[in-house]
Amino acid sequence: MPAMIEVEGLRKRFRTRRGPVEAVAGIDFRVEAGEFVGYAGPNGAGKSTTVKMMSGILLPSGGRVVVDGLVPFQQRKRLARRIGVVFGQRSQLWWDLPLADSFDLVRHLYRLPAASWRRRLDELTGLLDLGPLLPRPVRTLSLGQRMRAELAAAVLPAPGILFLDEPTIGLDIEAKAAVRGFLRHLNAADRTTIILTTHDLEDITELCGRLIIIDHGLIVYDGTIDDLHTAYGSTRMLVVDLADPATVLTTGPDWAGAQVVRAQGHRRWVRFARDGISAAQLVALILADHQVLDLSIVEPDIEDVIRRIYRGETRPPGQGR
Amino acid sequence: MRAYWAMLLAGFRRQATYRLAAVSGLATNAFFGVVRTAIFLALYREQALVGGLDVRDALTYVWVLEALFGVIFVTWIWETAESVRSGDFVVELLRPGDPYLRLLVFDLGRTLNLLAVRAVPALWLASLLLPLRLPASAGGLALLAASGVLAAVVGFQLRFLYCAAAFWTPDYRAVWMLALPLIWLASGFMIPVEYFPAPLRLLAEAGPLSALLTAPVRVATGRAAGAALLVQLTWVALLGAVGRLVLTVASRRLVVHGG
Amino acid sequence: MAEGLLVYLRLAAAAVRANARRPVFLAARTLASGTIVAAEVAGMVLLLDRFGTVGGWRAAEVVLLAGLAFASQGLALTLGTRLEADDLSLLVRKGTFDQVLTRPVSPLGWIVASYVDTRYLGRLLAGVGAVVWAGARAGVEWTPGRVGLAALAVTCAAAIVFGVLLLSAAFTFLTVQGSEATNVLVYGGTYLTSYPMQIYGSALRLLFLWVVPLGLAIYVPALGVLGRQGPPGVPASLAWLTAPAAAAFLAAGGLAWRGGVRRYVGAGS
Repeated sequence: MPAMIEVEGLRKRFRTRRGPVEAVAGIDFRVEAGEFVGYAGPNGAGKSTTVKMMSGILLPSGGRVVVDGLVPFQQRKRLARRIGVVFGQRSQLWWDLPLADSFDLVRHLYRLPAASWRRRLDELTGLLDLGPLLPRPVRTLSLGQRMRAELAAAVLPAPGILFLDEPTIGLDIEAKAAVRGFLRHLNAADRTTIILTTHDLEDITELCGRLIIIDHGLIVYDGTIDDLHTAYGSTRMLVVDLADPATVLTTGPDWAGAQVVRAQGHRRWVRFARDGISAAQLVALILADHQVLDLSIVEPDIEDVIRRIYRGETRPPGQGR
Repeated sequence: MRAYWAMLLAGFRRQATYRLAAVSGLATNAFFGVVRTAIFLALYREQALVGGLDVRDALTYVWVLEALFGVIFVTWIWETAESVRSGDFVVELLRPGDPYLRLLVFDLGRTLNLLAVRAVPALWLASLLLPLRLPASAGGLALLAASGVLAAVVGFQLRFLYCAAAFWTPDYRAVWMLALPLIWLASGFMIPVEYFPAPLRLLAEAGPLSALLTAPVRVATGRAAGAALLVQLTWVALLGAVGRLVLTVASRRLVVHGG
Repeated sequence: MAEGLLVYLRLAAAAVRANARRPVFLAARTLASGTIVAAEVAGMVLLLDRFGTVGGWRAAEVVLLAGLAFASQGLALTLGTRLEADDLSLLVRKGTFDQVLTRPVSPLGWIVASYVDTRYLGRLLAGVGAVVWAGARAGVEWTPGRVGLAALAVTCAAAIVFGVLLLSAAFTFLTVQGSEATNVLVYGGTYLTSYPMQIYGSALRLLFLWVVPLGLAIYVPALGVLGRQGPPGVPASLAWLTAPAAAAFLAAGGLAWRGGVRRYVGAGS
């Protein structure tokens, strides 16, 4: 079964004043239909270059890329009908005209039959709460409102693939939640394949089943978030409030390396490794010997892991080059 | 004093970065100059003297026009107005010193660059190929250069007054756009003012627009050069006073009403 | 094919609607565009008033040329002003051109349709007005044939100016910054063809009759309208060549544009 996106040995070399630069130095991955992939990397890593090659607006220097069965740069217009693209900072809508006009123009642009267009628009208007915004000129909308409108316009033609570039940048919490909720729905209900390029790690943890990290034109990680933690030795933290503040938590051989890293009053912070001991086992061990008032578990932040990856540290064996 | 000198150099250097634009600008000037030369040569085959100008005067007019066109009608015409609308202009008012003088000096640095890089080479090359009427002595050439600089200053002052509309209305462009062609005509940037019928000619010579092109051409050809320079100096002083007044009133308005 | 064209018409309609939201501004710009023509014509009349004739042509005849030249420039710029160096390079640098490429339409069609600039219609109208005025002054009898020649001149010259804009755009893709120099051919060309071609030296004549055939498109049909015979080598009967020459030049511009876009997609930004 051919994948939705197939990338093989993809390269892109630019000629700059300082000599040739390999923005993308040979990357490989497959994305199946319905996947929600996060695409991360430091600035200048090659993220937007890859997306440009996948959407057909940039010619690769070498390698192979196939999107929805089409070669992007060769069949740009045909592919354009099947993909949606949303740029966080730039608008695809018609700035001075009412929002409704933009949706109407999208209908004609993509040659959507009136009935199905109307149905889809009503559905999206409901999902993204666009009703009161329809008669207003796009330039009068707030950033959050505009981003919802951009998403609606991009998926109005029901594309199989959606490319998003920093869609939540500059949005407040409520707007981010709305956008994320919609993307989640899109992926779950419509099985839209989504490639999300972002610096916002919360976007990734909330939405993406899979994460690809690119750095200096090469892929340094391709897998799930959980595997990321495992691969990079992320630790979790158990925070436990003891009945007696004078209690000393002693670690035993069956604690599998878990350590008390901090103690303050009733509270103890215990760091433990994912592959060492499970939270349930650790809690059981503590409850067996001590009286506990309350406890909670703090999951690791992938920000720390990502930062380490960007800095080139702790590259796990077998991942990337 | 040193601050203003530094501003002048900064303006000069700023304009120097637009290298490609300088070459294109030169090409534009050269082309229009060649076409206008052909037109005037054809015209003067019919008559030897018109409006007191002979063919040599006319050709000199053409090439001084080309030399000064980019200096007067600069590509950054709207900069001040835009910075007023965007609110950036307030920074100018907060700095120590005289804001009007600072703007003038910075602009002059840029136009001096244009004069040096575009105007002088074009005029010099044309003088080699065509029978222009230019001053023969070093003193005369110095006066011509001075006249060019004065024209640039008056250009800035007039542009400033136009941009000043931005202090009061966001539609400053509309006014300028309608007036621009008329300004081109009235200042002699289409045909020499000397060709105008008598009443129009007097009108054109009386206003500040004559300091932009008519005066430098007269300094070049030596026809009433002294009077021309005097006219330029007078307008520099008058427009300077008016400009300063406008800026004071405008700044007060800005401070009271906000950006 | 027809339905494809409809999309571009809708985009153009949207652009015009957007412009129309600031009617006073639009009116001012349109008027200003026409005023430029009026000022140039006024200057021309004043000039020829003093000299009598130029190259044997009277004032009204020269104004006829200018009217045709400005009308065609207005028509071309209404459609293609966004292709000019400054505007196009801004589009590219802001990333808007990339966005255009993600649409299922031809990028040229999109740019022309979405950025239709109705203010240049002011120039078109003023040019036509100048032609009418000049025709009356010069005693031209407007037979259908002569009207046809005038229309031929305006449309063919507009096509050539558009071709120059396409060449300019291709150059902008090459250098990213774009260059004011290509504007010379547009604005300088219009200015040059406002005067009868016989006054120019052989180099300019060669350039503007046979390379960028603006002179051919304006001057030769004008000869027919005015009932004049041109200089040796440029007779009025050459009018049949106008349309093919314009088409060829426009095609060359189109090829340059395609090459420019291909290079842009290959080189990235």
